[in-house]
Amino acid sequence: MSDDTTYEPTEHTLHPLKKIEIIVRGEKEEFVRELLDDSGVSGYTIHRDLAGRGEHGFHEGRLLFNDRAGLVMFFAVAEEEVIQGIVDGLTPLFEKSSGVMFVSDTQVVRLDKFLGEEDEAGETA
Amino acid sequence: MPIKRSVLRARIENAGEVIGSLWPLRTFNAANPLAGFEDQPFDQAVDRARKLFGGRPYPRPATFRQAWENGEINPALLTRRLEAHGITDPPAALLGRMAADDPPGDTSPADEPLDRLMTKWLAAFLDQGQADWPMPNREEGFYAAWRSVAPYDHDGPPVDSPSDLPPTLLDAFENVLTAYPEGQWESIFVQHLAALPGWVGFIKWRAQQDDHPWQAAYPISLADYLAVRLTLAKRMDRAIAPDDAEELPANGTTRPRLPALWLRAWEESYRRRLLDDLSAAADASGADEDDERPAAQMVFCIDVRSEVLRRHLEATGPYQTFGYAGFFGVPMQHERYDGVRVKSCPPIVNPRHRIAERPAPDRETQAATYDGWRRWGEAGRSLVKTLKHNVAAAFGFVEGSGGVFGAALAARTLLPSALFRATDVADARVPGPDHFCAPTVDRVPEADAEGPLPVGLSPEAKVTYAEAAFRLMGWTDTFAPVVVFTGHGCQTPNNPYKASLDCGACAGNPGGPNARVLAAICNDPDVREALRERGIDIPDDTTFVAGQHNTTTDEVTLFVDPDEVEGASDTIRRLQADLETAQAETAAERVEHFRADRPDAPVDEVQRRAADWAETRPEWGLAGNAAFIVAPRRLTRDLNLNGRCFLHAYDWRTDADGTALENIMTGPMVVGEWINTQYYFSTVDNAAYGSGSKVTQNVEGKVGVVQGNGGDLMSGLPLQSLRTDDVHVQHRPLRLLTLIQAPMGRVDAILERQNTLAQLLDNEWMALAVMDPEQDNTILRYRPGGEWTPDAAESAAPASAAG
Amino acid sequence: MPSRADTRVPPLCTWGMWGLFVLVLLGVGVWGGGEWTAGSLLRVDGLTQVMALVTTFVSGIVHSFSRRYMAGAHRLRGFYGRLFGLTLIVLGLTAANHLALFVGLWAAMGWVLADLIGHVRHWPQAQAAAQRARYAFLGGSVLLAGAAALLAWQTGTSTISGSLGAVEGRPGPIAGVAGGLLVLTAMVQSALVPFQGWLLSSMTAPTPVSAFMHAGLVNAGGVLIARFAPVLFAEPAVMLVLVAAGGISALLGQAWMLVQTNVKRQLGCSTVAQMGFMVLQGGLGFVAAAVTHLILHGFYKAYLFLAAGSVVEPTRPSKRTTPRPGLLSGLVSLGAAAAGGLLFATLTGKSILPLNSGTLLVLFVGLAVLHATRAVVRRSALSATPRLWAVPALLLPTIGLYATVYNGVKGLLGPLPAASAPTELTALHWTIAGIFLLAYVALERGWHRASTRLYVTLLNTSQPLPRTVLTQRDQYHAH
Repeated sequence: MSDDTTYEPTEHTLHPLKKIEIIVRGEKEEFVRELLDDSGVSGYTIHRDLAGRGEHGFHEGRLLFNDRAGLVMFFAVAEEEVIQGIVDGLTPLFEKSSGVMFVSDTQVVRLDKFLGEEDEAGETA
Repeated sequence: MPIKRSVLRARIENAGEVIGSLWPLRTFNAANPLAGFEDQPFDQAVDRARKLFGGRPYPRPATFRQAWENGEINPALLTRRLEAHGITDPPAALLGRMAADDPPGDTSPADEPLDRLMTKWLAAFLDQGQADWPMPNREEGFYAAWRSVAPYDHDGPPVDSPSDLPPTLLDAFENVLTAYPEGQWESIFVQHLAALPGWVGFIKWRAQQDDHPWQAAYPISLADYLAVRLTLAKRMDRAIAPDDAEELPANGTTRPRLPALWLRAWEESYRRRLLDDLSAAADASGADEDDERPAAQMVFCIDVRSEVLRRHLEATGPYQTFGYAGFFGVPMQHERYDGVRVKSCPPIVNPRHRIAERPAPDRETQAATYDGWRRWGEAGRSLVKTLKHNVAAAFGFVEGSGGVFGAALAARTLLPSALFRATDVADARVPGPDHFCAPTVDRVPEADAEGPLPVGLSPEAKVTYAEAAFRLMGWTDTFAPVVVFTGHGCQTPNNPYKASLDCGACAGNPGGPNARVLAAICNDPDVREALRERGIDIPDDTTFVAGQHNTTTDEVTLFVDPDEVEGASDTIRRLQADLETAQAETAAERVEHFRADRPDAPVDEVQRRAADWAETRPEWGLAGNAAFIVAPRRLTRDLNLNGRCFLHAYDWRTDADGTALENIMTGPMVVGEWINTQYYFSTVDNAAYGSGSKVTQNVEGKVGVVQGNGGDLMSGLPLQSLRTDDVHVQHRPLRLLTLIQAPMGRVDAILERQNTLAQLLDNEWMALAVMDPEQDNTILRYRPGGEWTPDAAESAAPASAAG
Repeated sequence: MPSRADTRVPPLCTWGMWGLFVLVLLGVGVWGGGEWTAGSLLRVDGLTQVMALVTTFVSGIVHSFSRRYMAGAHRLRGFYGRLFGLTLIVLGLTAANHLALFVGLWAAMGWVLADLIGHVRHWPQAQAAAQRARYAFLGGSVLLAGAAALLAWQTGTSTISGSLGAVEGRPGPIAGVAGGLLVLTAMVQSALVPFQGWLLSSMTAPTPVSAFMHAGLVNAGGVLIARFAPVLFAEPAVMLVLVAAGGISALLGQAWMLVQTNVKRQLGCSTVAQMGFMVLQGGLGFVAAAVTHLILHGFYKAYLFLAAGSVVEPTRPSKRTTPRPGLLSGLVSLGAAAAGGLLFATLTGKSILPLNSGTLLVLFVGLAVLHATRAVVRRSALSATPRLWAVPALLLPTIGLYATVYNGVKGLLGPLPAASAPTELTALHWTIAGIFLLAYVALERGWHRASTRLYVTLLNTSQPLPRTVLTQRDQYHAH
């Protein structure tokens, strides 16, 4: 963004937020994506090739021919309330399917980037 | 009490696990209908599924009788297994007892108005172009669309106006679920999803498609389905929650059932023979290494149908053949020349590239000729359609065209063989895209915007796919002057299940396009250079060629003009001639399994089947599949495997760290299990897990079939793909045995890492054996739980109930 | 393994049927148009010959098709036996001259057809569909028996030819009632509204049976009208009933077709419409046209049923666009419609001026030509000149082929009483014509799509009988 270089020193205050990391099998990627899209987080990051899969050469990738068994990691930062909603949606899921989530405290500088608005959710993904 | 959307979504996701995805006919894919039960032991899973879907768990007594009378069940193996459970009656008496115990079906038609209403609206909503006037308001999603029609639907419970119904999905759930604790939701959902497993399976599939044009235009999800169904159920005063009395009984089968024991004895009889044959072949092949450079090498799909053709081709001359997944490791979406995009990789792989067919630079005149004909053909079809459906023009149209239809009736019914030849001639006159198109193998960034996937392959991707192919096949030296990648497809008119006979690794499409891509990659000098750096040295005089195996006629078409290949023209011509010989031999072997009209002229017979619109058994597809062999071809080359084995080339010596094997086991082997379980369940219960007889099928919405007048979608394979007649099976419903020639420790380490594979084995959805070359090619069997035992142990010790 | 009889009967029946076809073909070639009677029982005339030719041909096709399609099915002997027997019954029906024989064969035809609809014995839904059809046919047979009894009582003869001769030109209340009963019987058999239920619930039948049913057996309604035309035509009110009943079915059948999502029921709705049109033609006084229609429709529908597995192709959702009417394409289309109508009228001897019921048929042909021309002319993917040539290139042979068949049929039917008897146009005729024109414009402009109520009504009124729908797959224990 063009205004990235112009912020005032006062904006460097650190704001406490929550961070969630989710690891699931590839077949549940769609489910988690929809959950996050719907949760109100302003954006999230997906690491699909946890096992090193990809176009980077044969020996670096492990599962070339199975995208469902590979692991996918999601990473998102938001206010506690939003993260709680995500946790609520994942807890029942993990009764049936394998997967883990970690929630931790974190701090960010530009709070506005993480206060998702419904309409913008997903765009920053 | 407000419902949390995220919780609801998770509960629906969990409940949805019990339903297997159902692919639409056009891209019919093999899948285990009980995939959601693979975390449970097989016997327990089939039992629970019987309670949910009414499906039979094991083959019918008549099927066992057929196998018994054919000598397919080894009496000693059977008796030992039975005696281990204290059963001493003679097998013939047991067959009688099983038949007597076989439950008769219901004879009065069930009429559940709720199911009927649901199927009526699901059929209307999910239609993909059959109806001229589709259901209104579909773009708003299934629940909203239903809400808009419900006030006029006097078949359903009275609704005065849409505002009588909950406005949103969430309101609909709240309206019903507040009376139940969250802990009960999943069982409620399961009951309502399992009521119509066909439609629900299709919704489940469609909801997972990111770029499906119909899903994008008219969205539907399991939540939509449940919202409509629960709202209706409440208004119709139908049960929302399952009866407590019908709760599934505690697991843990008390006594082994006869059919389960018979099934295992049958499986073991087949496996025994196969493993004995392989052991003998391993002893015989010993140091029999051919260093001579073959004239040509051909790579076929692992598909069981390839084995027959490969055997006959090898017999004709100095040829070597390999087995590799029929999508040739290229995870692509194929854009046909007509613009239609189809996924062309296995169901467990997401496409990463779009490869488009574009006219080759020197073939533009051919393309123009073809385009001209195609436009007239399209105009004709569209004219017929609009006249057929027009309220006033339909009558005159019928009168004007009736005579032509009469002639077509006679020609297609009485002269199918002539029709086959006529099609051949027409194809030669106006060559199709196969002849004038080339795939966009190189990146075409400017075309990326037309879809979600990048068009073409980056140089790195090309090298990866080429290297993967050769590494997985353990093929790092000895390249013949001509190497053919051979995809496969079937030829069958008037057959809704055509896709089930095409290449399963290409999502129910012919594999030729993928073969072309890999051949083009391997002919790329830069790729060869990169491969050379990685120890795969392809001589400069080697040419890679793509081809396609027509599995219905066993004709192999090479996508090349021999004259255009410098230095190899003669080899290719010779190969073409030998392929014709192999076709004749293969056809002769295959017609024995048909009620052939002309057993004396096998090629004519299979060609007739490929063109006959009345033929419900054009070919047997993958019927008979029972084993998956991961080993070099020299282990199996001297065996007749009767078209029952998937063959994946693999050389344990070139794969020290097991990477190649891990990819074979997590990829092709899993797909093999999907195919095998689909054939198993479609055979053991053709109503609950298959699609019934073709003769009473009715194509619904261009996506699936129903039986007769409509109702739930049928899933799985039709009867004619599995049985020779209404009683006798062609497909032997045996679970897959995989045999890998590799050190046991290497395989074990992979199972350690890939626990879903171990789960499949521990729960007996498939079986595994290893031929350990470091232990003198001893065969070791994997036992549920993770133990490895020498093959012979089975015959010595009485088997356990499960194994 | 199938029993020996199961392997012998199918080829025997098939060869037998083709043998029969050849015999009929030779017979018609040599004695075409002639008449031949066997006592009071049988009377072979032009109608018999036409129907025998068509029925044995379609039946032969269905037999041959089934040799592959039904291979390996249970109870093949019963299947072929019924198929062959049904064909013989139809042949007998078209030749029967004794009223009692006619009624008996009619009842037998319904019975055997219902059996075939329920060919799959252990499938409850198929049995429910068979039962539904059996009740309909029994009802139809009772109506027919009533009509026959009235005719016999009124005219004092027991033969069809005798009673027709006696009634012709002497309308009376008894003949009127008999005519009404005959119309109802034909409506049941041809699945006209409101008797379409049995047909739309009959998709449990094996595909070849459906083909034969839609190409052969629903036609019996038309044969009945042709056979008893003098009784029906004696009373103008009865003809108007035919016009109304036919027109309603033609319109509703096509409208139902619009909303169907499965291929076989869509074809079933089309049959309701086409049979309606055939009855309408009869009501307009053109028995030869009605018979021609049922023959050509038979080929058409048999083909589409047998090809019902061919509808799986990739499709994309398309937003409906109402094409802007271009002046040139409009003029070309109108011109083609006028030319087509004129050609049709000339070749088939329909009157344009003075106006009579034949003009209505010309109107339908004109509409078909108009629609086809519009579709071709609008197809901008094709280059302009060939597009314009395509119109006459399609039109001339099509209308010519139709005219050839029509004149052939008419020639054979020649001596049949009332083969072609145009009537005066009444308000009813004008209304029917107006409704079809309106419906054509409404559908072209997409007006119908504004009404959700209409959509739901069409969908609901075309549903099969609930008990014949397989909502629980495990009930399909057919095999």
